[in-house]
Amino acid sequence: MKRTLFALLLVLCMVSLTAQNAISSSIVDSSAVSEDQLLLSKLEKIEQQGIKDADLYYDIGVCHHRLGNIGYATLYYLRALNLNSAHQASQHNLNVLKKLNPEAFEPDNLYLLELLKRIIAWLNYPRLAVLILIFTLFVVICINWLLHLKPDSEKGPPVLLLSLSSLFLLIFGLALPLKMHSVKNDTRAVVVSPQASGFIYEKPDDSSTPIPQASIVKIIDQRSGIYQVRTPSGAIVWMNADDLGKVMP
Amino acid sequence: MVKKLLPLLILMLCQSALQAQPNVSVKSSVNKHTLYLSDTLVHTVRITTDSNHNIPAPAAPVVDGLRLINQSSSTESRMSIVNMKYERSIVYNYLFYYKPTRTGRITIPQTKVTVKNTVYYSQSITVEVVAGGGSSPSTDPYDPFGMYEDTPMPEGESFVMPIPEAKSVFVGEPVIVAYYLYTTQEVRSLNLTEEKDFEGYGKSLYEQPQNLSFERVNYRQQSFKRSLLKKMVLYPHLAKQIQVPQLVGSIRYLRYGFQNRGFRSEPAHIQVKELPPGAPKGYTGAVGVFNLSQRLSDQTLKLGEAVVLTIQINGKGNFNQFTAPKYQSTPAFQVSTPKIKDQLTSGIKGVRLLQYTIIPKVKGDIKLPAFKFSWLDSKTGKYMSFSTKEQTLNVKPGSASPGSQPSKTLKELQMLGLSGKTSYQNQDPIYLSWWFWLILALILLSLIPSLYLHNQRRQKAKDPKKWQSKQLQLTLKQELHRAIQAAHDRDPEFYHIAQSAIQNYLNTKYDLPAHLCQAELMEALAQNGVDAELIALISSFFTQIQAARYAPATHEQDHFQQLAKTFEQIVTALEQA
Repeated sequence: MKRTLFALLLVLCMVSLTAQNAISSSIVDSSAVSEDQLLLSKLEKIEQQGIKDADLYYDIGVCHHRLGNIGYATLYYLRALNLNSAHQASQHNLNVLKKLNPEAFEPDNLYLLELLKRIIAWLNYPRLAVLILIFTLFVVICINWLLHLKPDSEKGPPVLLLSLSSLFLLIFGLALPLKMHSVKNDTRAVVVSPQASGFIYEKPDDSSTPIPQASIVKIIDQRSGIYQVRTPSGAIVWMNADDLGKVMP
Repeated sequence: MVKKLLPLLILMLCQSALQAQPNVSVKSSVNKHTLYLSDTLVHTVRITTDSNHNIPAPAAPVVDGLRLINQSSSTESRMSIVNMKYERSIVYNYLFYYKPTRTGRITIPQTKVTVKNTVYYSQSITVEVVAGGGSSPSTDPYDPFGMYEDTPMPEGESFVMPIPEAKSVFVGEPVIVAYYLYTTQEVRSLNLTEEKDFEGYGKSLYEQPQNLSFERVNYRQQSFKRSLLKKMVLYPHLAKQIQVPQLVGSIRYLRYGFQNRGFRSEPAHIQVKELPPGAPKGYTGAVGVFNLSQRLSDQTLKLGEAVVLTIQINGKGNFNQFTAPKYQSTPAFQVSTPKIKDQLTSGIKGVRLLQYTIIPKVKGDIKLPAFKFSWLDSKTGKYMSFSTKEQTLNVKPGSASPGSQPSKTLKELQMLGLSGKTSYQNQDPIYLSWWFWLILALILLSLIPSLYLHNQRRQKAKDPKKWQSKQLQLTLKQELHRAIQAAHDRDPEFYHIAQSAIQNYLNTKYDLPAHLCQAELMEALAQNGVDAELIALISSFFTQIQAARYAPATHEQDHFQQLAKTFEQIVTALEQA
């Protein structure tokens, strides 16, 4: 009985899926098979198993980078940085791509903002967690110090240390959930197609403008098959979903 | 649990599957099942649906023995509310008018209708055509007077022809295939519904016009109107004869009224050849017709500065399938990862710029080795190579120390390689691990004993007398428990515990010297305002203890219990005092 029910369930699932599915793409992969491509297919298979490893994303990015697919390379470097914001190799290769294709990336911010961004990037999840533990310990030690201080002793040093430790604990304690939230709601996408273009209305027209490959755009709105995005230059355009790869799939 | 949930899940899926599928029925009928050669057969396809789905008009069935002379369509929409239930149905009627061309049994095949990826078929119908003509010719709705019956206009011809740019190409060499509609009819619109692919190639769109734009051409010694439908680029990857993709769709043309006709593009083949042997060293897979040129931004520079070697590749070929060749660094200079700039149409035609940043590491004259790029010329079928001339850089001493700024610049432009990892695993965030929360909890819990101690100290400092009294009572209670235990065990230690506990309590509480005898103690208690009854009880208890201590015969259970009871009474009274 159970088997029959399961079989029925499977059949119904398939019927339901075929009823909803659109016609799949008929484009066949035609690239010449090279060493990097073999490695890329192997890594993509691992990725399909649902493994989320910053190094895996980085390696996929490197393969794409070597094969000249700078859009996909950017996409995977960003995915690696989402998992580990302090992944130096990904950040370095992304900077290389930025230097070689400046038109595809947003211009640099002011020095202080860049510095702040770097500090936030350095604070990846493991570092934030360890810092939270360290500053919780400091806070507890300072509280103990203050509790068991002789009445006639100077209270300044423990109070100062307690204030500083609490401040840092608060900063790191808030940074962790904020970081998680920003990664989870990452609306960035990368232009992966070499011939992508943006159009003002929801359909391609004569006024379509080419968007450089590897551009990092922000998704504002989405309809079936198209996204409204903000390009690095600040323009708001519609783009085909096939031309974009979402950083947070 | 599973048994209960499964049917529920199945029901839900059934419902969703049913909701996803529109309620569509397709039926066909004819006006006559037996007809004469001179009669007109009206074949009606009736599509009924319950919602506004985009239902494409079915193509007129092609029937051997029947000639399509016209077609028409109509739509009916019905709404009804029965028992508070709203029902709606839309009926699409497609009428196809045929003239028989032979006698005998003729079968009209099933009509295929596709709605939301689901294909529906009507039933097939067989009619019998007999010789002769019993009916009047006026049965043709568009020719009621029979004016055109004897001289029907020719139907015309329409077909889609794929025209590959080349009949023979190399593996990897892109080839453009143009699809043209050739027609002698009044084609008003064309709908592409499917693109059937075959083995051996990849493809991408090259051009697709929005409107039909006809030009007059001669084909097979006949004049046709021709319009471009689509151009696509094929990238063959198998060395064999490949068939180009087949377009499937329908055309709508005008003849008496609008008529639909399905079409499939004609087959076309391309012979794909293997790459010839003898590929030069450093060949990166480029196939096509290219022109190359090179430019060095400067030949004289200071140490710490950089020059850019630009290679321009101009032409047509598989730009998307080859990478920039490496330009090797030497001890005298370092070379960055090339910057690639493309100005290409559909990835096959245009200009590619490869820019290598060269940073000298030493001063003096530096010879730049020749840069080499090889490709397979698809016209000649031979491998070609482009080699730059050996050039000399004159590097003058610069303000920057050798090896500092150049290497920094180079490092910034050089991409890093693979991580070197061979196995990958999920990296769960550290805050999800149990040990993180355990350590955090331990750190926070360590505050509890500290707070307790602090509280004790605070109470002592606030009211020392009260705190002392509390401590004395606690000690007395502890001693009481010890004494009761000793009494239960008939241990003579009971006497000592009980007497010491009371004496210590009284001495500390009333600040009495320790050496007082019993009488002096009682007197001191009386002076401190202790209740006379309690003094008498303590005195009696001490006397009993002393008596018991020196009279071992009285070590009976009852006696211990009695004394323990008295001791408990004294403790209670002292606590209340």
